[in-house]
Amino acid sequence: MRSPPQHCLFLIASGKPGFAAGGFAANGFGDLSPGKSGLLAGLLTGLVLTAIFLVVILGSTSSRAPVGFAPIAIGLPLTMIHLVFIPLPNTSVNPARSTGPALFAGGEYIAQLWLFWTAPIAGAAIGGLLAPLARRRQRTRADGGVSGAGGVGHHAVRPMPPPHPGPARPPSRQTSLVFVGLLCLGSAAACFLTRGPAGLIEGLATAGNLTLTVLPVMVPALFLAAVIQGGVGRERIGRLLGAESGLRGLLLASAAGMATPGGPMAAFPLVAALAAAGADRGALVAYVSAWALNGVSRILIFELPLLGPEFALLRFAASLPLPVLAGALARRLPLEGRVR
Amino acid sequence: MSASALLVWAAALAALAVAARRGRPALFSAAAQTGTSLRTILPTLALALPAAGFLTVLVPDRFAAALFGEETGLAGHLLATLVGAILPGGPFVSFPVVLALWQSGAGTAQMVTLISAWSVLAAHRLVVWEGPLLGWRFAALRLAASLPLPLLSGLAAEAILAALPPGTVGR
Repeated sequence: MRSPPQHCLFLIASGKPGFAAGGFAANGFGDLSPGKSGLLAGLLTGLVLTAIFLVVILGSTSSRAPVGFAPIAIGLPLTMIHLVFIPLPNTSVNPARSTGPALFAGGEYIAQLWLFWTAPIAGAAIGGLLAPLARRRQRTRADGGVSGAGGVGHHAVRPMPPPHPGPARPPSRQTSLVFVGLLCLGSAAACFLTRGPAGLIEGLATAGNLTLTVLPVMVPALFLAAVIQGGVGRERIGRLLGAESGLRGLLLASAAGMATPGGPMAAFPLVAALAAAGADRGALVAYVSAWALNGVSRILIFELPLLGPEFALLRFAASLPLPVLAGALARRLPLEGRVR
Repeated sequence: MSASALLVWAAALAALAVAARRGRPALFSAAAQTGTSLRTILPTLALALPAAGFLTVLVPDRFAAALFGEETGLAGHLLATLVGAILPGGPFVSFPVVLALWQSGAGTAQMVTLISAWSVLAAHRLVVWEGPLLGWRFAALRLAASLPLPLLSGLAAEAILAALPPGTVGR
């Protein structure tokens, strides 16, 4: 049968194949829920997910957040919220969006509408209370803590202020916590939906075993990282590099990159300073690659406890010579590569 | 406790001796920093470990093995490069994901490629940090020069694994 465009519209509106009038994805619990989940499930997920969503929105649109990334930061959690939340009451994080379809679907949907007003509004209030708390703690911590974007905190080495205060701001520890929290919550919900309570128990048992292997290595690894960070000062790294050229420059830059502790906030300003001091682009690329690939402090703090010493050592050995290669390649590439 | 865990403890004891020789302030500051790190890491870890457990349950065994298994060869390495490059978030998001894939049958060398790609290509870090702080010209040069690195590290890991007795790097 040929389908004129209005059929497609109807298909979208009904949310089902075929031509039965559907609920326009109206929210409901009990028999009206797509997964037949109850009142409590709708209430709890509505509270928690709206609260998390509000924290993400307030955090990503605050003046301290990188400018222009709010749509990504807000869109991805919303996608995840839908993935988790549609099978329960068809997702309700917005009373207005819950009301419209309910008016069209009518009947029981209107009788249940109260929940999809109460849960998101109460959840948003909780989120609104949590967000400023996170912001206040962030201010007192200033630059400390474990950063979310691919690095380790910079406790021992005081980061120097970035030479060009651009739009980027350090993602706070709270952002990282929210990300991991979302991952944990989403995977738990997905486990529950696909395998039921047994899935949750199996996941927690795996996590328990993992904890037993991670914790005994974590403490000595953190101490090792602390001693290494204490011994390598920024000034020493700067002196190591200077304006050495040739293969020797690349080797020194790789060694310095591996020794640099901390996240992007610690490493990138140093790159800018080195460029100003006359280091060539090959050495700078080797430095950044070595810091990213084989940064000793990140390996000690994260990779070794979580994936095991054997794996960490294997990856370290396999990537040890690569930063020099990247540096040599960068010298030959027909790109300008100027640090601003 | 495994033999490798004992090795880490031995290294930490050696570091303790080094710090003690540097003097009392160095020792105290290292100890204090270990405490600070633990305090900042433990709350995240308390969320990351359950996440890793749930993800392990979720990833169907055949899926991980079919996409990243040892037999997938070059295609597995290339896919791992792509996934690693766009995997968002910090180490507490990426390592649980890798752990879940690895436990569900992904190849060890392919996981080396994935972590290398996540650490050196890192699309999210490029956009949020490197471009704004160092300028897009440098970011482009660095990205171009590092493109082959994840694959090379994975292939090198494969060569090292082939030389080791089987089962040395276990899951």
